[in-house]
Amino acid sequence: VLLGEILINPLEIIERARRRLARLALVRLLLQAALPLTVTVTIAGGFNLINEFSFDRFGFLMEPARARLFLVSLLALTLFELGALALIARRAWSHAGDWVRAAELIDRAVGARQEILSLASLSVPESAETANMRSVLFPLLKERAANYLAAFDPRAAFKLQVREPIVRSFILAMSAAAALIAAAFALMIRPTPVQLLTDRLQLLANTIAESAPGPAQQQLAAASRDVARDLLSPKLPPQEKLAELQALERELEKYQLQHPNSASGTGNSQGSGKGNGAGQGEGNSSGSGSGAGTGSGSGNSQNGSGKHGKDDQQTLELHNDIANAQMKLEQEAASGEQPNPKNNSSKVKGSAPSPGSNPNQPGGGNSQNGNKPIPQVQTMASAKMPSGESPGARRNDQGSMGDTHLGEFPKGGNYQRFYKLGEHGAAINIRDARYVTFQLPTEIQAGDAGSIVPDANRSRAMAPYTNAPLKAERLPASPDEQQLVPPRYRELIR
Amino acid sequence: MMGAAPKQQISPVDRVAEFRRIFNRAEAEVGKVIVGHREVIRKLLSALLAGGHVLIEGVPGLGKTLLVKTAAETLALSFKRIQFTPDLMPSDIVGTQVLTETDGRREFSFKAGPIFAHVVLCDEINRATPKTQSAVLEAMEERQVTVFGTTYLLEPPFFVLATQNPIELEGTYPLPEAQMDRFLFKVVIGAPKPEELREILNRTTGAVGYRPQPIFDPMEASARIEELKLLVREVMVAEPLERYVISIIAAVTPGGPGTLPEVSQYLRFGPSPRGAQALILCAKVNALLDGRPSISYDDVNDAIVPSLRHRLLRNFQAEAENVTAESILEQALKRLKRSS
Repeated sequence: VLLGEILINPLEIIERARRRLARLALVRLLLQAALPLTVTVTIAGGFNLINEFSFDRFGFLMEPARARLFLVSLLALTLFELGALALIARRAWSHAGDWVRAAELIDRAVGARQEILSLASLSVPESAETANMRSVLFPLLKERAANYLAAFDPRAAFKLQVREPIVRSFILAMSAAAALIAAAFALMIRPTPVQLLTDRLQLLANTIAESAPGPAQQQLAAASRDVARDLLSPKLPPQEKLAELQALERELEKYQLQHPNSASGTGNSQGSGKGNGAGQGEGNSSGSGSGAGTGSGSGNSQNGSGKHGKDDQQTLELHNDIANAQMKLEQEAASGEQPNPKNNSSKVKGSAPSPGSNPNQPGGGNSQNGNKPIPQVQTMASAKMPSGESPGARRNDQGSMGDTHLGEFPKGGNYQRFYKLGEHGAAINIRDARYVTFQLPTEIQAGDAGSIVPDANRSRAMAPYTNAPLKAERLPASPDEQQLVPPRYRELIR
Repeated sequence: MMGAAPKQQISPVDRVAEFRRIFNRAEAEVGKVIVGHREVIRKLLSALLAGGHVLIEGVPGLGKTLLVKTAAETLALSFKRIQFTPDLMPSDIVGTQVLTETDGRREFSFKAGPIFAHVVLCDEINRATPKTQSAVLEAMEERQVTVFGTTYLLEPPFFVLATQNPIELEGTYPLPEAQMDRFLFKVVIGAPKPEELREILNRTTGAVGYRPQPIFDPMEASARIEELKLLVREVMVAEPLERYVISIIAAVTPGGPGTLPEVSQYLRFGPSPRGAQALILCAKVNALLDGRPSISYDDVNDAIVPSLRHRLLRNFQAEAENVTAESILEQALKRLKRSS
């Protein structure tokens, strides 16, 4: 249509507007879907951080199996969202790009009263064969449409309105985030000591693998991962798990001694910490006969740290977790000794040495096949005996003579491991505890630059205290009611 | 008087402009005699150009007869008025064979009735018997009458305006629905406003009488009006608007796919396809009056009530609750506007 000197093709303008509307619809849809998709992917990617945060802050953790399921679900959800987005985008493209609909929107934009719509409707390619049947008024319609479209610019008339899609996107994203986080927290549980240790071992393995690229370190990291995996395996008997754990603990101690700057936490105590740590470990091993067992391990870390930093805290927590896990496994092992057709522990029960027969027997390492001797529960309990003394040397002991359970040593699973007051959560209530075994901490003094170091001039407690009764036949005389704890140490065990 | 212009020689723009000019002038001429009722005048002329008939409803004394007569005079068309009474016979309307004697020979000749006119006013059509009513209604639909086996075509434009009185229904024969359906519009004339009444008094009680000026030469009026009617048919309807009209009809048809709840509650029957035709035709006239070659949604909306109000058959509940067809249509229109 020639308007003055300008040639206007209304159909071409409608086509341009149609394409622009389709593009705008697509962009709006992408804007709307961007945030929810990002949130889903971010939650999937940062799930480990969420898991760690939840554990550190609230003490809840998602089991690895559940975590894997959750991540797979998130992946499926992301794929579903992508698929739905593609489908909706296709529909939006075709809907917004509809020729007649575009003409209707132009009608509204230019204020025409369905004349553009009529022109578009009567000019669609499907109706081309009916062109010769068009009304005599069709040229007038085209002319009027051209008049309307003379100053019409699709880009100016149909602008991208970002506010609405972004608001919708934000609402969708918040809903998705809330739902996913709620689902994640719903799947989380308070971990058992074994699960806790497993998680910490995994982290430790990652830290070791990242910090030290040597073959020995990689081997240790792999061993940590293996132990972590085995600890969660329901097929392995508790005794075997316990043995693996003890072996790993020794390896870790060895690693800490060899790498004081390692991530396990003794980096700032190279001078005094190293010497003390080695001495302590050696003394315990030779004195008590328990090898590099639980007692010596914690002693190493506490004495050898020298400077109590974050690494020390991590080391301490690791050893605490190991101790807790050992306790749990010992309990399981103890319960596994009962006749139970479902328990696989009978396979290794026959090959285990008798309690206390070989205190220096290494606990782990060769126990993968279950045929090697495994330290038993009472072996662990005997490690808590006063250092440097054999059971025979306690004949004149005056403790707990009035107990009616004379002759029975407390089983390993019945004791509690204590921390400094407030060091690891709330203080443990031992008011109803029948037997208490503890070891006095080393005296400390102020070192350089405000650090705290062990006091070398003070005598050190080498033997743990216990109120466990001795066997009746070994008591020559009537014992006292209870082995008394020196008053100055009573606060420590509360 | 306007001169005739052949269709081929003038452009579409001029044809549309001519349509508007003629319509506006006719409207103005009728308005010189009829005070107020501009919408009624507009609908009446629209129906004439759309090729339909109009049923006018109003109490006596509102100028229904004068309106029709004035319209006929303005358009320079022949006009006949039939007062319907219970004893009116079909032959009184369509005509009959009469025995005449010419040159000593007796033969029957057809004496045309008052139906043979361009504009026929059927005054108080509901007072005649159904038999007589159907004689008129057949002529309305077929635009021909058959008397004693001979068919006589009615000269176009054939335009019937029937009036009926909404009061004094004693002894009347309400038009059957099928016959009501043949009217393109049903127009309701209301009482004049006080200022209109004052103007009526001035015009009708004074010495000076007002008469309309014919806008056509009587010899060519018929042809000119037929041209305008053809132009109305040329107005284009986009497919979405056709769908809109169909959705309206579906919305007020009980039991249909898109029926509104109040329609199912208050109506027994909805409009026939003639209702959709009436909507489109009226919308086309509206579009031309606006200078457009295609109809719009507003054109259709404007035609809904006059085109469909007499095609809705209310049920007993609607009559008992005094729910009118107009209110149902307005509700339907609101719903459709909301959903569109």
